[in-house]
Amino acid sequence: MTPEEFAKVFDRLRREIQKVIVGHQELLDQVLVALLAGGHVLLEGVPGLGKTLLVKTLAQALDLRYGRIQFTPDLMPADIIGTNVVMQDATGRRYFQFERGPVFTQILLADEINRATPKTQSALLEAMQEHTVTAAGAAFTLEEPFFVMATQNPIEMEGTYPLPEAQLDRFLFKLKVEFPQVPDLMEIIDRTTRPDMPQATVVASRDEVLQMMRLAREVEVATHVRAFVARVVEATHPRPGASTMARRYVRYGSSPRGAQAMILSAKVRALMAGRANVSFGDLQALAAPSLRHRLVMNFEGEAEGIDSDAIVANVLEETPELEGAKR
Amino acid sequence: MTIEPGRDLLRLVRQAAVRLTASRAVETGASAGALAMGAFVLLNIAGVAIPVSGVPLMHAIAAAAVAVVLAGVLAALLRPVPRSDSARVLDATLRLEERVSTAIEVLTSSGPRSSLSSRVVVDAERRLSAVGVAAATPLRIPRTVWWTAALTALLFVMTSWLHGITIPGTPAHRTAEVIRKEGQRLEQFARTLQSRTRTDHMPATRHLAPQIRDLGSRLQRERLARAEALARVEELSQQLAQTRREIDDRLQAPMPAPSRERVTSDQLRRQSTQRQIRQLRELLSRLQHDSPSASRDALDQLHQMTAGQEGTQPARVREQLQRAREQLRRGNMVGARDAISDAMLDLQRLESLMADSEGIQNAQQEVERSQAAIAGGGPVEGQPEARETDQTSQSPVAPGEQRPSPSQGEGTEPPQGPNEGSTPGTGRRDEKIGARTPRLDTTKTPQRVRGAQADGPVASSEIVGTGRSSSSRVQAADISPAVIARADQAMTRSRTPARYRDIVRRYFRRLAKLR
Repeated sequence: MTPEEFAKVFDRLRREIQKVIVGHQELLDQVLVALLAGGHVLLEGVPGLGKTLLVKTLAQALDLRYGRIQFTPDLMPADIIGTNVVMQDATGRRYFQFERGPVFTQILLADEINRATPKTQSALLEAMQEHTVTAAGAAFTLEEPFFVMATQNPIEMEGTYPLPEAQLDRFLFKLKVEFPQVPDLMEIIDRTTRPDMPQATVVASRDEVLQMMRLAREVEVATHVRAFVARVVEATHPRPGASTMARRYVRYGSSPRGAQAMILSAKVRALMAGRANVSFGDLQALAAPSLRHRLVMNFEGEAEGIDSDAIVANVLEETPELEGAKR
Repeated sequence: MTIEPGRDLLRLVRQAAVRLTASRAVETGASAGALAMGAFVLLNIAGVAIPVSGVPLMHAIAAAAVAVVLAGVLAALLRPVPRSDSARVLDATLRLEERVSTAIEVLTSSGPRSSLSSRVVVDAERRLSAVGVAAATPLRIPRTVWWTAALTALLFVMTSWLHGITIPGTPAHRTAEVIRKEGQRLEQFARTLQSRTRTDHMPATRHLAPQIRDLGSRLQRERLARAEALARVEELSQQLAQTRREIDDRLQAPMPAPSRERVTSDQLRRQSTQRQIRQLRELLSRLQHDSPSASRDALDQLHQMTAGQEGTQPARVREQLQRAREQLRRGNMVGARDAISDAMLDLQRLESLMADSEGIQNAQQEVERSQAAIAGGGPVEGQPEARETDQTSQSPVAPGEQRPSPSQGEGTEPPQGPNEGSTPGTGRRDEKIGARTPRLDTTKTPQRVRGAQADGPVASSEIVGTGRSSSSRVQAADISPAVIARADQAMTRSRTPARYRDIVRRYFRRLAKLR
């Protein structure tokens, strides 16, 4: 696959999804970027903004298997990964057989992930990181591409279990689903209240998606661009040399996964723009979704209600693109 | 023929690197020039308060030009812009989104290349060729050049109109005063010297005296810095030394060889020469009478004159005096008179040289004193002014209480006595003079009772009363940093419910104010 073909398929995919999803162009691009970078996405937004529809439409457009798990407090890990059930053959002999859970899919929607207990949430850890599931001593490999989109509601906090840092760190992006603008809202009303609902058709095969993922990893990154990413991640930690806000409000900065997320997603963005190299602009555009969920605020940050996006913006502002240069 | 991909890109980036290096060199040179010029301006400004000599405009311009060239060349040689840096500059200025820098890295690295590497190179090459390097790296006149020009103009104003201006009360002003006074003194001395040259025949001194006078008047008139004044004084001093060497050589030449090593005072030599001239003049007037007695007297006198003056008389004079004696013995009065006249003329020439030597020596001493005074920032020891100041600083003395003059041993301290008498150094006295001082009259008052502590009951009582409101006598001490750190850690670790956060925050703000 060439970068031109990549850009063509990407554009086709975007347009197909936009037939169903109104507005949210940036969000849609970022979801596609995360998918092609081989990462997972945590969507945060109030109910009714089309999060579930977005995931469903994506699965339809890509011809990939789609599964959905509604997380509730009584959900158990076995409900996600599957369990051994006792079976009986024709001779009457009983044996255990592993019954695969809903995680065995390609696009998984983990709806309201913060409603399940941490024990259940952590059942997804292995699947998200290694793309494998281990149950009763047996390891099962998930089919590629494996893409998890989790949603959570930021307002209703009662009866929820905040995602542990280890779980959060496994998401490539945390995306905020904003309320649509008035013209978009009118378009949503128009599209969804007619007798014929728009449907997405398959525009890219599984193989094409895998080729796009492989091509994205071929994109070149110059040393000084990599150094910039390292300095940005370093500046999120409250140490000497960190950004002003990070020093004041952050308890723990981003993990190295943050840097990986920035580079991988920037590679996909570069291909989207028809480039074969990563630019500072790619990194700056994707820094907030890559890093915002990896910053742990200190007491002062929590008390002041500091948004992690503001810290990422401050880090970018205070980190020069070239080492030693002044901003 | 196939063109290797990246060749053009490398050429263009190299071209950009050369332009950037040149640009940086010009910038560094301009900065060095501005710095140099700034330093000269500061030096000139400092000259208003402290006695430092300002730099003339042309010297400053020349020095700044040298600094510009040196700094520029060094910057170009020692800090050339590398290819990778110039690629980054091209990316930034042409908004090429790191295409060129990535391509250069791909081309120059020896590591494995990805399938998109060649595409990066081709893309960067195409875009850079389309734009052109000159557009990305224009050679501009650095802003510091205008600073240099402004500083040069400022220096011109300072050297033209503000030269030599000093603030009263500052060391620079004191130095200027010293220079002016020394100028006055030199001018005065030159006038005296000139009047002496009118009476005495001193051709060299007559020639040099106006120069001394001119220097004196210039030291007064022109607002010269210390170094400048010293340079002029030094120049004159060297001229005087040169003239004196020439005169000394001429003085030593006609003398017999052994006399050169004899230590004879110049003054004594001159007096002796003057005496001989007088004697010869007298002799000539006697020989006018042409009598045998005068001839005999003249012979005796000539004998006396030549007998004891081997060291001080020039050989030529001695020969002429010998010739005069022979002529007298032969009775040739005319020949004798001629020989004596010749000897007298020679002696007069010698005396004139001696007078010149003395005059120039005096001038040299005066000029050296001035030099020392200007260099030291005030009148030197032994100088008339300094002596005058010493004398005036002493308190006036009543008649009859005049101290003995320094020549009578005032300079040395009297021998130290046994320190028991009221007047040290005058000897021992059995009785003290005068009444006892009040300090010695005081009596000692006992303040302590001595005794031993014995066993026994100790009575104590406790008084309970209301406290008075006043400030604490105990100093407020900081809370241990370790405690604060522990509290902060505890606060950071604990999760605070959203609805209590405001309350907690207010509490800690109040606490912080108290702290």
